[in-house]
Amino acid sequence: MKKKDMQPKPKARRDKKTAKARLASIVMNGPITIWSILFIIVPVIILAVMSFMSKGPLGIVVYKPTLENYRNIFSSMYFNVIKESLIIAFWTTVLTILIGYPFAAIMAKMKAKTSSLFMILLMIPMWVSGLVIIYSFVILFNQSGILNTILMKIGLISKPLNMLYNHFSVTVGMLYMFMPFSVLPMYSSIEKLDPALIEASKDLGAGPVRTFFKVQLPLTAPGIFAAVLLTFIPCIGYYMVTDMLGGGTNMMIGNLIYRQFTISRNWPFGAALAMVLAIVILLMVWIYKKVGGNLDDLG
Amino acid sequence: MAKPIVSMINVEKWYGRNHVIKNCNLNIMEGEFLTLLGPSGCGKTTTLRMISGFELPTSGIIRVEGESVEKKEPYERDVNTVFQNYALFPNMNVFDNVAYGLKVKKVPKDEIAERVDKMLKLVQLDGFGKRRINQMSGGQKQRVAIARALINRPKVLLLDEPLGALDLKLRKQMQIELKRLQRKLGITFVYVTHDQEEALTMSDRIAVINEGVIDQIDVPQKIYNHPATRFVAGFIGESNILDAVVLGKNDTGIQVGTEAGNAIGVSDDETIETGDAVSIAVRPEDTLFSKERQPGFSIRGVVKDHVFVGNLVKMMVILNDGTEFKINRFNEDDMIEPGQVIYLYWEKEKGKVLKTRSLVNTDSHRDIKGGDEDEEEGYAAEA
Repeated sequence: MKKKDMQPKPKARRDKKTAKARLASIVMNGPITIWSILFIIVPVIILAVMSFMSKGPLGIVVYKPTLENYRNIFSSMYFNVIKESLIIAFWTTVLTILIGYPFAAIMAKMKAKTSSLFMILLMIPMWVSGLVIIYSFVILFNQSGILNTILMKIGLISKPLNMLYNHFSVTVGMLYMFMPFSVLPMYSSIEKLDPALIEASKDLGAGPVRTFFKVQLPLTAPGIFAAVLLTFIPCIGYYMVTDMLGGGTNMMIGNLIYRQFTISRNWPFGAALAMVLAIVILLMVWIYKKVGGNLDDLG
Repeated sequence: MAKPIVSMINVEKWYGRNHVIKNCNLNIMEGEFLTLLGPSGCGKTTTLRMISGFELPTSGIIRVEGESVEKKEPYERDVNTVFQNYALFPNMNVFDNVAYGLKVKKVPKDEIAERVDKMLKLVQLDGFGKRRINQMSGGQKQRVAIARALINRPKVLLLDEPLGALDLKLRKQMQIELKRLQRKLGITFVYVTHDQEEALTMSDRIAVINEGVIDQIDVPQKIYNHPATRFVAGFIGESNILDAVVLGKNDTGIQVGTEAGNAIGVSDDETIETGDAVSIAVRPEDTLFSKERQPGFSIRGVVKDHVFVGNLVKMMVILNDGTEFKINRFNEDDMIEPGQVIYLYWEKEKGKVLKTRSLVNTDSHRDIKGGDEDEEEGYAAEA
């Protein structure tokens, strides 16, 4: 009898605890949930719905369902823009990885003090307004800009080089903007790599090249893949660099979407483009997860 | 004994202003199981890493089979290491881990398969080749690490506290197995540990390292029964160590005076003279006691308490000068009630008189070590 009497008591206490925990969880998670619904989920739904509507006169959205917008995307003119932006994003990504990986590897080997200094240097582009950075590139690459003047003064070239408003300037600008996003995940995965593994490889007779390709590279691959995603995805949609350093000759999907909403006033088409971009990105994240990437590494 | 396979000659290592290895002279003999034993931070791992090539000596010569290697890269040396936390490649399975060294050497594929299989059998991991590293237990990982190193038929196998991460039972089991492997393969093992029991059970010889200096290098029995320095006496097993001054020396032994009274001991060190500052070390199990003063001894103490710890009884005695003195007995009936006054004595062979080493004067280190090395040959012949 006594045992039976005892039992309900702790149970009641546990109920009280769960109620308390539930309240805490509502208080803690409530605001962020409401925020996400209002500013992320609802807009995406609106965008998705809008992408199936048609365009009225003066840029008004007419609520008449159509697939016209999606059909338009695959017309040659717009498809070229998509192709072009994928190519620029691809090269930017390849170059940021090729430059960023050695940089990250060197940083991971530094003493904590020096590496944090380099970290700050790396972060500066993220803190300074992109507009300011891009303008400084215009000044640097101009026909009468700093770089051309110096090169002519030292006699390397006789005529100013055409460095602005082409693939070169766009790629350099992109490279500069996205380097931090590329270096940081690679740095974190290289730093986490147990140095004993590198030593073990050398101990077993492997030279530096073999050790790099057989041990270091495979083991830091998740960091590289995270860097690819963090560069490639924002790169496709980033329109400021192409707008100002590409001189309108290079258009990225980002530019296209931006123009649909501002200049062309074709919101449904812009929405459809944005949806396609979002699907491409989701696909890449899905692949990343499939190959064993950790979503937390993407920040 | 066989010829030395690794020789370290006047090796010094500085980390900035830290003098971590002080004039290390060490001969590792072919086929022996040598243990570098010392507390953490004494330089034993640094010594090992200089042999493997991960640390370069500041000065001095390291020879492997007569060839100077001190400037060579780790991958150019014929030695292999078993790392503290195994350092197995997580991106490869067991087979590929073990085969790594052979693949580097471009050994034909079917020979690799054959040798890996044989090696896995040897470490009792037959059929585990396809397993991923994260599916292996600690003990199994340890075996893979040993197999991965041994398959290269190294001239010397270096082991850096390889059993440190295993639980006690597994550790004991692996100790026996490592010894078995070493005997079977006849490969020289250099083993780093801070665990004196491990060192005493496994080694052919032990080098006791203290603050970057090899205090003594000898067979386990000699290390235990004839410690060369106060540090060795205190580090290996339990010892009661008292500061003392030599009062006189004759055929019956060395008479010393401590703060708590006089005692008699012996020494392997012939240079000890009357008036020298020394230490006298006695094992708790070697200490005798009685109600009356024994000839030559006048150390008196009060029994504080005694504790039963299973296989023996430990008694604590407080000496006149306040020092605590430990006595072990196997029989509880031998014990004396707390509060009683007793006189301590021992057979004079059990009291080891050791020269007190000054830590400032490095020259004296050299002297002590030079002496050790001469004696080493003699001990080896005896053993």
